[in-house]
Amino acid sequence: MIQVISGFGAKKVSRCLSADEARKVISDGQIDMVITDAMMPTIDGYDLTRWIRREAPEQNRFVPVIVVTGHTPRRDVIKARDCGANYIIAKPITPKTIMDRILWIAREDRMGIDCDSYVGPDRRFRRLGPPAGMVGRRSGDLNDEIGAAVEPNMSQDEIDSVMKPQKVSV
Amino acid sequence: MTVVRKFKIPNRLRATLFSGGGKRIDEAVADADAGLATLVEACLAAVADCIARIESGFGPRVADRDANDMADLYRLSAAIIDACAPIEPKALADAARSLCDVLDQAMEGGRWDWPAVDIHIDALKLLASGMDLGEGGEQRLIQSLDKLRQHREALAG
Repeated sequence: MIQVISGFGAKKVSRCLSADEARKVISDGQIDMVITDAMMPTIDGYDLTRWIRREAPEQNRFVPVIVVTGHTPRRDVIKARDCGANYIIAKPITPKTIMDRILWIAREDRMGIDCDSYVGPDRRFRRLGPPAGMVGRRSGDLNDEIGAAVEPNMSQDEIDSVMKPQKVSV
Repeated sequence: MTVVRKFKIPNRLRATLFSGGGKRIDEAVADADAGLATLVEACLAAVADCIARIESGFGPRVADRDANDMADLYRLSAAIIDACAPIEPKALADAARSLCDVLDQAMEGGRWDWPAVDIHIDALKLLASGMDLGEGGEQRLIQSLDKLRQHREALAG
């Protein structure tokens, strides 16, 4: 990962071998992005992300976080979903995939969500698909570019019939 | 009642990336690819080491292998996926991921599934050997592992 990020030309990269080291770095200065492995000793990448979203200093609490994982055990799927990461990427990593996600984060305007069960970027974005001009990796990814209509517009009568309030008896 | 707060997140990364100067995106990706290519030898050695440790610690010839910790084999298999970034075939990572799936299920049940583990060890050795499996051979091998896993999952209920 360091080889990839250095290849991108990142000016300053902090490499941490444990979540404890990462917490210290995140607590000591302003960070532009965190890329963490999911599998780490003692505290895993999901718990590190959860800590960032809830307990890190204010300046880094909503720093973009990418979690990289080779395999997610079933018991961790919910934890991964709820940790608050911007993206979770499957290994083996490629520079293109990492760069794509960095660009997605840089271009997106996802709102932040803070509630009892979740703190992180709004997860309800999949329907919007990847940014214009980019292709997603999931088969269900839609693109946010709206193409030309392929059918004639609905007539007003058709719209009315869809919208027409119906009486119901309870 | 749960209170949900919705707010705008300042995008510092955008400001940093698009502030001008630096590399073009395609140059940055090419440089990263070149950097990754320097790791091929080290990663091949890491994969070979993991497979050797898997075979010597968990292979069919190991006595009393039930006493092993499944988490150790899981970590070795995950380490193969880690090391696969710059090397071919990518099917090697798929086979290692399939072994992780087998172990994940076995850990839930608390019982080793040795036939499935042994087949995965053979598949890893075969893929790492660089033997020509013919057109689509690697894909067929991974599909077979998928079918095996689904079958074992169905048996386990």
